[in-house]
Amino acid sequence: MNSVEPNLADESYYAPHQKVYPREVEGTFSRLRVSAAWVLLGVFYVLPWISWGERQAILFDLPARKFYLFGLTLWPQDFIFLAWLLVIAALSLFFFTAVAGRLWCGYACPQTVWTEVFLWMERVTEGDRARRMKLDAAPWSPEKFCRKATKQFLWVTFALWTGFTFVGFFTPITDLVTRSMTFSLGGWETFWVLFYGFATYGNAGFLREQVCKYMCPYARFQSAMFDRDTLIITYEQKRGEPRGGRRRGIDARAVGLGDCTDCTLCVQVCPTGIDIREGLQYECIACAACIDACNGVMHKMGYPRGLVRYDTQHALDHQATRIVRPRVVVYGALLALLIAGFVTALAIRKPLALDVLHDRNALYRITDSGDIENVYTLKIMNKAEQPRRFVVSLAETEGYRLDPERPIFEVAGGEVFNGAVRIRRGAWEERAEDARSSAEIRLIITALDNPSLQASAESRFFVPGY
Amino acid sequence: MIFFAFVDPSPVVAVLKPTGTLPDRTALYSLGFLFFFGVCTLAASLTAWLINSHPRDAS
Repeated sequence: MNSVEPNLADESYYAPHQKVYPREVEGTFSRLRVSAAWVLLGVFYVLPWISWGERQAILFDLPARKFYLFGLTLWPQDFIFLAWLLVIAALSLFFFTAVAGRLWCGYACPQTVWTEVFLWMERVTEGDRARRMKLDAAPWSPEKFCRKATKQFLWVTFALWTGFTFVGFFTPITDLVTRSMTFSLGGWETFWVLFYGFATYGNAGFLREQVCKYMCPYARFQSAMFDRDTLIITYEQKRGEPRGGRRRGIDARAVGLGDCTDCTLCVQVCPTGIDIREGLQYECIACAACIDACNGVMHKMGYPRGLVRYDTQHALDHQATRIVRPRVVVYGALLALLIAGFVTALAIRKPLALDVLHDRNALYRITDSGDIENVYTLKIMNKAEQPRRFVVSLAETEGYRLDPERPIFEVAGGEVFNGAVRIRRGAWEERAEDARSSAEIRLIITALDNPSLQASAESRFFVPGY
Repeated sequence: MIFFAFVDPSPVVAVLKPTGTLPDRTALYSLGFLFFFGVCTLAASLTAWLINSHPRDAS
């Protein structure tokens, strides 16, 4: 017995990689996938070119520490909104996965979308699946060199364009184009174009399904969101088995066969190289290529479509499928709550912030008239696009006064303005018992064009012997 | 994102290096990203090394 058992101690955790040559397939889901790729790639490549007033509509300006999203300007202080968006994105993924399985992986994941484009280039230059396999197996020849070189040229060009566009989300893309024309791109910009270009080239050109199988964490934990009512890609074993080849027109049941002709087209079209007939596997990205392939065969054979189809485990077991179930309700309710909260928070977000810094050099000064004076620096953040004028005031004025009485600062749109103000307190005040220690003060700035737009910040007023 | 929101590298470098030319924020954020990228690469390399250097437990 021992002689036939595998020696587990010598067994490697790694399986040698077999290159996958996905076959081209036509069908409803294939068209849907290609349409999704067009839309998503269009959004990615076109967005940086859209202008919003004087600037780029979507710009993550790291040097200025500001993110522009159309009319919205997010500052580092607005980190909560970015975090909020990420939570919404994550919860959306959970929600759609619970309802319809791996929709994200099959139709919207950048890895799937870019792999689709790279595969298309491979087909254009090297031919269909059989030709590609033959070409790879053949020794080097002028034709092989030309085809491979053309493919590499297309891949590298597209990858560089992708890297360039990606950097265009962080540096104004028109400026980037102008400077790249004159070969005056900065060192870091060049580095990031090449870095993301290389990442695109490596992931979509070579790693492909290995990213989904070995690198993507979502593939590993998505099953936690699945239940027997989740839409998955299934093979109806009862109908398909026993599988086997047959001539068209014969009665399969009469010769003891199921509907599966064992043509292996479902395996050949799979971008991860799995056999869906072996049941649901974590490698399945639910791209539905196998459904299209099988439906084509079923149609040719005159059998009903749907031997491989989107279905639920409950439906396969002839039980009712419930779309509304606790996990869907919980994910849905949380998602709706978060989106509503996000929209509300954005709507009531104040485009103004104030920070007050006490003078570090002198905590207080006694003026010639005997008053006590403290100096503060006001950091006024005008998060709006247009310039605004702000007037400074004190929340509790008794005994304290600003110098000048009504300081007014003009702050450009999207800028931080540093302005100094002095606050004085009369010397007579010091005689009061409760005024011999430092006190909390609150400074308020009010927009002159919109008195309801205010921001305030606290600081301390220091006195001798504080 | 957290790094961007909570860390403005310019003043940090200004404190550490009060004289001379400061690298700009793009450079500093890039270095920050590469640092995290490097940490992840190290972690992945360590995992790969541990898997390859320890035979699977036959039990």
